[in-house]
Amino acid sequence: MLKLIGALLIISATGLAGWSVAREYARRPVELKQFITALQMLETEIIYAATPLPEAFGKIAEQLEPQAASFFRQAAGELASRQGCSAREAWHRALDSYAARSALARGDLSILRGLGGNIGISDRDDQVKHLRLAAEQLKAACAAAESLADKNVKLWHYLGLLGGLLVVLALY
Amino acid sequence: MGANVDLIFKIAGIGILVAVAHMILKNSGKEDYGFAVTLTGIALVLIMVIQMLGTLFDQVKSVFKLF
Repeated sequence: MLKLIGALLIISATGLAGWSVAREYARRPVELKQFITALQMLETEIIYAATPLPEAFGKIAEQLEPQAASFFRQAAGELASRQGCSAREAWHRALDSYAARSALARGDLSILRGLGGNIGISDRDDQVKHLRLAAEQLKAACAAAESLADKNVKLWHYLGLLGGLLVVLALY
Repeated sequence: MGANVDLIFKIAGIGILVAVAHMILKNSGKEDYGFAVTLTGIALVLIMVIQMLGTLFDQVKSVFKLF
């Protein structure tokens, strides 16, 4: 009986480990898509509505899914609360705290970081160019992330369970 | 006798699991990891079998009085 409980514990532990690795792979394209949508919304806000950045970030945060929304909410908060904080500083600070809890790869973050350096410092036409460029780069990263997820999500699900079964069988 | 049959089933189980893991890894383009898994499986089974082989040799030695 004790052996059986131990075996179940081992299998569930390795299964969960594999599942959490698989979830990281599955989350990355989802977050990238959210950011692509967000950049399109930001473009609209800038070019058609001419909304000031703090309000635009706030509006975007309300419409997005929770992960990316938290990033824009924090950026809006930084801009609204800190007197004299530039859009670039607010963007980078929000990105730093977002990077810790996101599944984005370093390349994805550096695209966003590069965009942050250019946001809010030029006229509308130039801003749109920067936003479109970043969106294109994110789209390419998203396609790569999707093919990676296709390959790896199932693999890690199976591998976690199989590894657990193997350990149980070797020790039983 | 019972212990030996258990060992055979255990080895068979390990073999099946290793074969499935190898197949999954190969299908997702990670052949080198697949071979690593297979090799680990072989090593694991060898460790189990070698203990039995040791007792077999001891018995042979004692039967033919080769001390």
